[in-house]
Amino acid sequence: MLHDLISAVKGIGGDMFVGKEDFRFEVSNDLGFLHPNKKHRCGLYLSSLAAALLKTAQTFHTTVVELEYRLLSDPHLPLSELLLTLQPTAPLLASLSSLVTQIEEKNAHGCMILEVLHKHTANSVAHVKQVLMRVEQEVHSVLFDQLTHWLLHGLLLDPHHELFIHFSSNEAPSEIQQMDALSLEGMENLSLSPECMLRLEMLPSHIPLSVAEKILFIGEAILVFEREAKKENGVVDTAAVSSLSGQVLKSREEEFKALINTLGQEPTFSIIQFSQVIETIRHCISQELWKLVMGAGLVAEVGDLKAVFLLGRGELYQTLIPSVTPYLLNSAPNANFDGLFQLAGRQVLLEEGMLEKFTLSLKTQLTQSSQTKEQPDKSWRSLRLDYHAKWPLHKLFTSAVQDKYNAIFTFLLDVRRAQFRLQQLWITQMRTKFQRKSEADRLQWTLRHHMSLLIDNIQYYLQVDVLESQHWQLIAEIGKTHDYQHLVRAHHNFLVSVSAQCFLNNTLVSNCLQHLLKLIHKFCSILESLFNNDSKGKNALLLPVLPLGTQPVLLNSTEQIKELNEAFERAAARLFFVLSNLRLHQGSQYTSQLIMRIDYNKYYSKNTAVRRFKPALNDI
Amino acid sequence: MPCEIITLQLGQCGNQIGFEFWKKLCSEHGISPEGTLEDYATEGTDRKDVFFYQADDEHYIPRSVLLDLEPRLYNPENIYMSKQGGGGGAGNNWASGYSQGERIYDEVFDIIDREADGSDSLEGFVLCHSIAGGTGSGLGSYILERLNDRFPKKLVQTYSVFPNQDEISDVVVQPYNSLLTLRRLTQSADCVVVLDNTALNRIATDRLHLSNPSFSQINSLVSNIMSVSTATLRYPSYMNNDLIGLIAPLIPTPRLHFLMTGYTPLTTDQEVASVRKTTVLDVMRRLLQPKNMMVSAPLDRNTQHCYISILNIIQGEVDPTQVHKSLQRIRERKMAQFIPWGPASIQVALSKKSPYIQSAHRVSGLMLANHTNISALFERTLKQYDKLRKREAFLEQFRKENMFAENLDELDDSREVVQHLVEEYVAATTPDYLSWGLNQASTESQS
Repeated sequence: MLHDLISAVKGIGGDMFVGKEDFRFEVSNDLGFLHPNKKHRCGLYLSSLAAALLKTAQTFHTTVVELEYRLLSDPHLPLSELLLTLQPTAPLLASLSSLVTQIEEKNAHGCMILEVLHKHTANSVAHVKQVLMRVEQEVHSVLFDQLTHWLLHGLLLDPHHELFIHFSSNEAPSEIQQMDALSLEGMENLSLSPECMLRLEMLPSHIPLSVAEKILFIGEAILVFEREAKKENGVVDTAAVSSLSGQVLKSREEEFKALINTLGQEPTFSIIQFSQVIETIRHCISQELWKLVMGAGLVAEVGDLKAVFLLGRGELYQTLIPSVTPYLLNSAPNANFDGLFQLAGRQVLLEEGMLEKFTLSLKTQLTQSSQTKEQPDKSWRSLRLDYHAKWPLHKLFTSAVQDKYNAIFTFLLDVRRAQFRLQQLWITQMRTKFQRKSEADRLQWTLRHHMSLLIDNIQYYLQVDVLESQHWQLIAEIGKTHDYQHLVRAHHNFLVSVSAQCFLNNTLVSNCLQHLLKLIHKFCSILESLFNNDSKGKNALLLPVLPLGTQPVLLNSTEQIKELNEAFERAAARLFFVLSNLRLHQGSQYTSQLIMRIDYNKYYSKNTAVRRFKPALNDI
Repeated sequence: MPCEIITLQLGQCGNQIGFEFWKKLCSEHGISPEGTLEDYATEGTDRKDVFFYQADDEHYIPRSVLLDLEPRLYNPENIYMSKQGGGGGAGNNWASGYSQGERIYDEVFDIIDREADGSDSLEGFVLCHSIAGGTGSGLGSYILERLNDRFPKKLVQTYSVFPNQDEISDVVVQPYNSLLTLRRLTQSADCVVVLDNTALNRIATDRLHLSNPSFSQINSLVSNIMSVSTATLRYPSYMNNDLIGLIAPLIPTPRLHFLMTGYTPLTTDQEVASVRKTTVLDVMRRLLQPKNMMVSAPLDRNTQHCYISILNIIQGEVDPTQVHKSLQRIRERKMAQFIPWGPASIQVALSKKSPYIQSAHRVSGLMLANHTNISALFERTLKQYDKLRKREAFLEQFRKENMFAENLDELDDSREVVQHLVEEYVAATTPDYLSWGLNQASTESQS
């Protein structure tokens, strides 16, 4: 009877002893009451757990064997003796059993086993805790092993997808295929170096996200260092880069390895220690990356981005705007926009090498209606700049970052173009100054001047208060830090601030600005055609009879300009009103800066109240 | 290469300030007197091509035309000098300068055309002259009118030197010359930068502590103004990349196109040693002080004179966040009065400085301002003219020329134009300026 009992205690113990020599995963299967139904699951973490559990169960098995011997030698062994001997093992077994049940119920896989285990250990006491800690240590060693590869060599040895880091499989979404050739090229580059990502569902809760992000960054950085350097630079001029990358890691590789080993030796998993080690490695890598990026001329590169994306080289756009204009009419033939861009750059004698880094293209937008599909939308808003970042800066200026730059670029270009057109009108108006002097003429002058003042003030705000100031701060930040990640953050902050200060994310303000720009462009179009007609009209005067219809056209335009004037004054007042409200509620400094510029002599604050309550004409 | 500018230097004064201007530009761009780049001039980000063209791979030549009716000692390239020799010259007489202009029209415009053909997309002309003498004023007036006909789409900016009113001039007909030139400046120039010799002398004595300022000292003040005001054209920057972008925002209505300038800090060569920590606010505040203005216009107690527009070009190591703070301070303390009839502001352009010139000052600034008080200068001209005219003095010299042979309508008309200009500036100080003068439209349009 007691033999039966012992057999029952052991479960299908016989099989277990067989399996002991063999640490394959299948062994766990034989553990019977410990691991039922786990046939189809596999993984390093799981097998390591199984092995650890097996070791833990060893004491229990030995006890049972001893009992059996005693039972054989002493058939009168009382049941109470049996109970007394086995009872101490009960809490541990119960705990292990519940651990296994939990893992099973949660269907935990890979790193998540660690999470369950860690919680379990934390919740246990005394002897059980000691034992569980040993188990945890062993399972953690799998993690440390994987991390060693990843942190020191950028190798992801994870055949069963157990780690919280993975390479995102780059299945090109359908829309990408419809992008133009240039973007496709970009995609190819991207797929050559698949992106590493965090898999949050695999991140154990006792490892903070920030640490996980650092881990991800380190491995990625090493990839940038070593693999991609070789890949992108080819065999030709790798000397400088690869020698650097190899040495940098080698000099401290042993040190880091030892650090990770020490972590593995610790009986308890200490997140503090763990974070410290990770931070040490991250700091080292980040510094090396900083050196690399600075060596690649980051500051100059940021300057070039400001010059081109942020219109820092005004003369380039001064030249580009008139040369592109004819090709953006809907009837115009397709043009090589990049060719025009490069030509403009050469005309203003842009530095060698600067132009090649940028490509201007017409971004084909997918229009909702299928009829217009063949005709790409030719508008200023669909002009897109692409920047070809060289290694290792490409990690800093990713396509997502370039999208942000492009959003700002579109806005700045729109403002710049309005300014350009208004200025061109000035000279035409100046030339007609002694031919006509009428109320209509005066209105044209006043309106043009108001428009141009508003645009100029916005431009000065953008140049001085936003772009120069933010750039100045960015350069200062770059100068202060020696850490690549700080640098990335500083650059990110730069873009966020610039977008915010261009009011790109504030629909209320940006709608106002868009409306104003639209009115300005409309005004310019009217006056441009008016002046064109005028110069033709002069020739017509030589004819004996004035051509019919001249007068109505003129009258019409006068009316139009009157309406535009009303609309513009209202829109400007509205902008001022919206901004003032924004300042009241948000109190952001840049809002007050823009307000001060457009309302420097308090013209708007004196006149807005009156304007706002005037009856609204139809919006144009 | 877009936005090229051709400089026309007329008469003795125009050629002198032009000469100083080119000297300054050459040193800023690192161009040697032989026209080659200096060895240290390695920074390629400046735009030399706006004012220079490259004759070959090495030589930079100024886009300039030098015109003088009297032979003077000058470097002999691209110069028009009257061939009449001793008997010619404008004799400090506007009428003579003007009518000689008619005679030499073809020759002069051949030179200008040739120069214009040498540029890819010419933006305009800058004319340096004095309004008091004969050549700069007379020939200058003639050329201004013709430039408009010949190049209707090109800008014409002038740097016009106004005579010193504190001194007794040896040119007795100076008030006539000035008035006649002012008419052309009003009607044919797009923008006039007024350089008032009275103020320049005052600045030289008061600010630079020169007891007896020489011509070249005064002219170097002028060339400094000219070079800074073109800095944004010559160094790549965000805005004000061309002449029109520079002047159009300053000029709200066609005739109010006379600009005052101010520059700070002003130092003599001896003072350069002491480097001063100038801030943006210091610079912007000082620019608003009348004593730094290159135009001396006495305060008119009857009129609340005000700024129509201001552009400050700030050079040097500027923390851009300081600009806003300075603007705010100036606004709070009401240091500048603006027009009541429309929006107006101080626009601040940040510009680069030549890397080849050591400056004693961290920050320096130039102000281009459209201020209604400039009318005082014109009024002064009118007053002096009236004095002379009442006595019918020195008119015989003018009557010798066809233009004045039959009658003196030209003088009367000019007076009316200038008087009208003064009135318009005064009107610009009032809230209803925009409707000012509309009823007089018919009479004015005849001129």
